[in-house]
Amino acid sequence: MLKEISIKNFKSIAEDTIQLGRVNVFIGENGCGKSNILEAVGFASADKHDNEYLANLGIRVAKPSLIISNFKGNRQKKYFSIDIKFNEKENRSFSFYTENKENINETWNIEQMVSSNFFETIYDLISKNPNKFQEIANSMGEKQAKETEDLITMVNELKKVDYKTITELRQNSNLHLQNFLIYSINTLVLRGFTQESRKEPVGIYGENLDVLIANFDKEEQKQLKKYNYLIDWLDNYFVDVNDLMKLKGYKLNRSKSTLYFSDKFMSKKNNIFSSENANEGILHVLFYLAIMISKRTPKFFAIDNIESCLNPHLCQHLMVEMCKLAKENDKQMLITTHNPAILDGLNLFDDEIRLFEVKRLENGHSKTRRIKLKPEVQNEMGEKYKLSELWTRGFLGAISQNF
Amino acid sequence: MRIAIISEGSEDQAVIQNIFRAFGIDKSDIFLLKPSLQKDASSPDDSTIGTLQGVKNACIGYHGKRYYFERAIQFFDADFVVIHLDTAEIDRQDFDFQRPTRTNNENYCSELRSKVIYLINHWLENNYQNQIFYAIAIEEIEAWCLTIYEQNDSSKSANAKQKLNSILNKKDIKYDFDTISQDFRKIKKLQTFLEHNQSLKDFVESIQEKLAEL
Repeated sequence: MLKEISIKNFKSIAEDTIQLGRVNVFIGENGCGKSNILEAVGFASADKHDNEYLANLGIRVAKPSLIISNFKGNRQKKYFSIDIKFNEKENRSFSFYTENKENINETWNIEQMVSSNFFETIYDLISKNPNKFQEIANSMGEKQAKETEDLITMVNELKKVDYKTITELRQNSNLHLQNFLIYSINTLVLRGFTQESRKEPVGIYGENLDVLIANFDKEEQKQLKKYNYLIDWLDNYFVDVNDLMKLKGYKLNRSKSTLYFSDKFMSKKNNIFSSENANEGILHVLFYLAIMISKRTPKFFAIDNIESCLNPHLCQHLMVEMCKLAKENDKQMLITTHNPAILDGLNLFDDEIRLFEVKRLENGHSKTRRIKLKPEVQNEMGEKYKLSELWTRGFLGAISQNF
Repeated sequence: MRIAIISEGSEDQAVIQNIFRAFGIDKSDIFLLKPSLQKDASSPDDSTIGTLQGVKNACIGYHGKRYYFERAIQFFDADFVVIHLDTAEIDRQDFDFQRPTRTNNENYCSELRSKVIYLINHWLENNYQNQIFYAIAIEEIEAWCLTIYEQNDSSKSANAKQKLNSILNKKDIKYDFDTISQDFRKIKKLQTFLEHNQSLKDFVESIQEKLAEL
């Protein structure tokens, strides 16, 4: 899991460090910089840095001079940077720059650094295997290369020998970061009317939800079916794999979705309808649960504006269940929301679940503050104000001060 | 450092915010606890919002408990709470308040401030005193702003609001409290205004004292 992200010179974030938990929810005024945090992580995770690839991750692309922070009275830097701490031993630092900041089509260049902590890990291992280290060092003795290059060569040589721990460590953190996406689901896409994102197994706007569910194994299916109770009218759902039901008049041929639902209140003989006709709540709930349950969706992802289309009580319950699923299925999430009910599903006394206020300082810089509850209020929670009420009553911050 | 403000209105908050900014506290860390946020569009009209009674309610709570005030410390993570009151109408309300003698009383401002602080502490049953900044404006916060625009003792001004309005009109300055009090944001400038208003001076010195203790 990512333990900490530090962002410098990225959009509205001049400098900020966030200590992450497993489930991380960001709240704040419109335009305070919540989505910029997600996008910064997206940049660090991307394999490629051209516009199409970045947009497919859910990043809002603009010309580089608008992506690198550009505050009044400050000279714009040539780069922005992101530091990621995976654990005590491993950090990664990324610096992004382009040759021409005014050209929107420029591909970003990256300088990636492995932190000194990584080398400390190497040194730990060297000290446990001094003879092998000496052997490798002797074979390099005549080289005139720079000290750092020698060290990197040594590290590479050492890795080849038996330093499984490091390789695994790096692979795990690579995998964790590599598939990061920002989901920002759209009802029209969930209904199968449009396809914008080509990401697999599901697109960032909700593309191919039917395909994802159709490919669930038994364990995943069982986990998902458990949540049918969340939607009162829902009898069942299924995927028409061969898309033949359209021929029987169950949908117009406008939607590509092959997902169907049956309604328990309707006559059994005629109670099936397509995702084109289903209410939007079921589509959204199913999407969120499916990405939490699937073994093929990323271990680490973001959801931008989780709240749309959902009843407050459902929001609260869904959030409780998503927190449970995140632990069960080893997922890590960054979530933005404007819906107070989402907060009622967060147990802030669990250190893995974190709530952050994102705000703009008076110079316009976005800053993040973790909202912690003091232990002494644990007993009175629920009896008095819920977190949603504390937010709407103005006690958590994250609201406008202007009106 | 995070500071919550309980004040009669957002205009007063803007002035107080600017004063704290002189001490290096970012505007985003100074937050107005808004009584209006305790209501919704279906709530009955609350005539106490934006009044002295509204500030009192925020301190004593709407149901006899100090939830409102305590929430600022518990949840907003406020290190300090500023309670602002204008004294202009303090003895006209049902506050059982006796104003000190003004005539020939050099200590009128300080005595009045002490009495108002006593009243607020009474509302709070003498709790939280170490966490409170008492922003007691004598007789109104416009008198504090007036110090920026004229060199006279503004506490002696019979109608500070009217005077400020007239000065701003002449100078063609928009009557916006954040703008008109922006000179308070610089500590050196702020220091020069203190000699023209005792209650402003007492408030600013109380901030200096508390911050020095940290």
